[in-house]
Amino acid sequence: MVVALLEVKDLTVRFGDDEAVRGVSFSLDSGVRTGLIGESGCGKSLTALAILGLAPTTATVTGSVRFEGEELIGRPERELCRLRGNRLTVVFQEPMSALNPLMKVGRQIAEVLEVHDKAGRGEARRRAIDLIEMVRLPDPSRTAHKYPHQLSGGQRQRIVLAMALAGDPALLIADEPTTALDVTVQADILLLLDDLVRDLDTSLLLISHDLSLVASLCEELLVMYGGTIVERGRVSEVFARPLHPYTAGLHSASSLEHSDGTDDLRTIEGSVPPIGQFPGGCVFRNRCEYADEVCLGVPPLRVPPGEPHEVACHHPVSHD
Amino acid sequence: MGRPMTALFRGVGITRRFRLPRRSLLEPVESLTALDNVSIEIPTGAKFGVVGESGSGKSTLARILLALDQPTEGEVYFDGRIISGASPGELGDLRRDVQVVLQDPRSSLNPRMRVFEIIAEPLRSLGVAGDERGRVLELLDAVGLSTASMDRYPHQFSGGQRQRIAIARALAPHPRAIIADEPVSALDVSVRAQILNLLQDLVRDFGLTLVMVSHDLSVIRYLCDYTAVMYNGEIVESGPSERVHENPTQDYTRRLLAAIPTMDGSLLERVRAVEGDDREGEHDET
Amino acid sequence: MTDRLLARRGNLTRWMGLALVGFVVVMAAVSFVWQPYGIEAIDPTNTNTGPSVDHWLGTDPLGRDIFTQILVGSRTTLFVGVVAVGIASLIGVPVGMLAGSSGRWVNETVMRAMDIVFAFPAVLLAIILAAGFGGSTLTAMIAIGIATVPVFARITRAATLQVMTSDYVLVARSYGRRGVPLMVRYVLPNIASVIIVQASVAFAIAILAEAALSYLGLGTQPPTPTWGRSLQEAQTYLFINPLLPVWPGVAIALSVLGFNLLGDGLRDALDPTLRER
Repeated sequence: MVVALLEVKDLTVRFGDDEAVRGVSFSLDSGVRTGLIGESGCGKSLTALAILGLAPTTATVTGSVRFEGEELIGRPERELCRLRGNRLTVVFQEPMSALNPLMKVGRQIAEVLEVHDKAGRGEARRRAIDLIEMVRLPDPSRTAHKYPHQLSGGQRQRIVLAMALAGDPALLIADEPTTALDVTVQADILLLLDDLVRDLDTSLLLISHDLSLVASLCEELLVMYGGTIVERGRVSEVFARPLHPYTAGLHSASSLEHSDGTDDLRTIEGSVPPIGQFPGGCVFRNRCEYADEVCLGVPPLRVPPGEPHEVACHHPVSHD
Repeated sequence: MGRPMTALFRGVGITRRFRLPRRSLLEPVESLTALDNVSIEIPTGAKFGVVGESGSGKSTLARILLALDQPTEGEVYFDGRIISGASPGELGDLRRDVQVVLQDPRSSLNPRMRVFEIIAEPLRSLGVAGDERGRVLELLDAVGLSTASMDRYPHQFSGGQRQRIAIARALAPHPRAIIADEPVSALDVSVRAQILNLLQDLVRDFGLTLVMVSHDLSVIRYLCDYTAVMYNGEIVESGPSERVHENPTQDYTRRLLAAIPTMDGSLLERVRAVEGDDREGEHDET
Repeated sequence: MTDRLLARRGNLTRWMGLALVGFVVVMAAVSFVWQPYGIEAIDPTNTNTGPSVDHWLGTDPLGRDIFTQILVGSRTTLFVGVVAVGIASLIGVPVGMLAGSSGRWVNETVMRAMDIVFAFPAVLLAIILAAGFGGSTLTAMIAIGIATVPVFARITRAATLQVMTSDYVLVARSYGRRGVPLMVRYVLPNIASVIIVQASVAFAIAILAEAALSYLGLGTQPPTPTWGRSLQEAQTYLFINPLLPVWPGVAIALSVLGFNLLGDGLRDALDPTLRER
């Protein structure tokens, strides 16, 4: 039996009585790039943090997260630390806060290798320079001696990427890795990410609010809303035939390039409610134009007849 | 002035330099050129988009058009009257005729004022006579907010609703033009579309001139009929949006266009095609 | 859930502060209509006694009733605190707002002037004033007030600078708000919390400063009692009557605490983001 690289089952994150992530289940296979999309407040970042064992201390995390066959939930922090930054790594939105401002960037990369006993001091320094070259920064040995503030935002994010890839991870979680960057810099970073993930045979979980980013980089797609996964399938299929009204709304709201600005963009009414104020039953029913009394019941995530992918909706959008 | 097409805003050779703080007493004063000899003409009734990345000078340009900042060199005219270097008394109707909407509605609304006061503020400040309450109610309706919103504070609203409040405030004194600096960048995708639709409708219904500043070329293309592309303090390309988007003449515009992620997933191919294999990390200096 | 908890704690702070400050105010008020003994009345047979039925808090080495001294002393304490903080904030806040909202030259000039004032300690100012007008409660208050002006000016300026760069001020300027209306409608409400906290701290410092000045003979003149002087006088008799400094000490500590708590509570009460959700 093939074991999935990452298997998440019934992952729930609670703050007091409020569920921010409600029983999320999915699995990621080796070498596959998966996009996790949703608007702010849908629980996508919290899901990532819970997987990494980095959820805020005020949160209660239950369910199961199995990474390479090992259960992570309930593991002592010390063991999680050995895993994080090694086989399982993460890149966040803001590169400046991910780097120590008082330490040269080469040293910071080398430290990752030393902490995980990948290399001794001298060896680590050489490998750090190799890694800087791998993320295509100019003049690696000189760049290694720079401090974070001496680099541009895009260059800093490359350093963060080098640190994340130093341990030869099986899974890289990238949470809005390019949101703080300019468009042309973002394009360069995505290009780099695309090449590296392929070359290193790393699985990617890309978390983003931007559907077009996921369309550009990923194969599989998870759509989150209200702390649940509302649709799952191949990126090309989901975007060609979005079945959940939420996905469909996000999709048309994102498709600026297909509109000449004379008609209104089709979008979703209202806005994402605060955590704990989503409706019972289907979490989307208060913003959904198809909602009726059936939607008072929670819809299961399943493949509707004649469709290629899963959706959690009582009234999937028809594309006929 | 004697021209067939009237320009609402006209900038001639605008340069804006900022003095940088001295590193030490002995070093000479350094300055940063945010705008470098920019000339611009924004026709009355146009939807004019200014696109650029961080550091391109687009927000400085917006502030100079609002007469909230002064050019170091060059002149700016609004409706034929010079506004650069003008005293508050000489600005004429600019303060009433041109209103602004900023990126982050969390910071652009005074947290200590209720929505009613926020929207009525421009009327009071400008001494606009008339039924203040009636006008506020009318504006709340125009931007799709309930009457009950009036008595609440900004923090009690979502991001999209707050941006609606900011738009209502901008419309309050019956302006002729709105300058919108990244009005949808801080918003979620579905809300972004709502606000774009709203801006679109309001500009049409009230016959406004819209100057939209954004880093997002797809938003500009969607909303604006003119596009000016800024890079490093200069306008590198400008013209009707369709022409700029379909037939860019400048390398930078081509790179910018290629870099926009699209729903068809063709981003990486396009970027590879435009940039070739020689592009390396040193280019992402901004 | 945590919001509610925070709100409740905020309420508690406010009420405790109000209770303590209210207690001092009531003491001052009561002292005008009723005192157990005259402030100058001495009981030569009972000096340096502990608490008793006749003298609730005991007597000092001269045989004066300590409770009376504390009761009447609260007037001076309140008076000095209110007036000194009033002078400091009424001058300091506008000056700070002017500096924070003006160009570089006004800003620099005003703040350097403040530095010069700041270089004079309250004691020195009080000596100068006392030389001219004689030592009194009034000179002490003015000296403390003026010496505290730069503190208010500085924090007001820093807070103003921050508010002036905010987006909502930029927008307000775009529809022509400037000068005093801009300050009153936009800047002041948004820096009020900082000023209130500073005022409560300054109040505490003023009470202590008055004590020091009175000790040097530059402030309130005997026989008018003040907590500060009672404390200073008690110092000499510390080993004979250890309870002696406790009473004015406790009175000062509780009122200082009261004003600090009240300041925190007021700050929260004035913030709409904490009040309504």
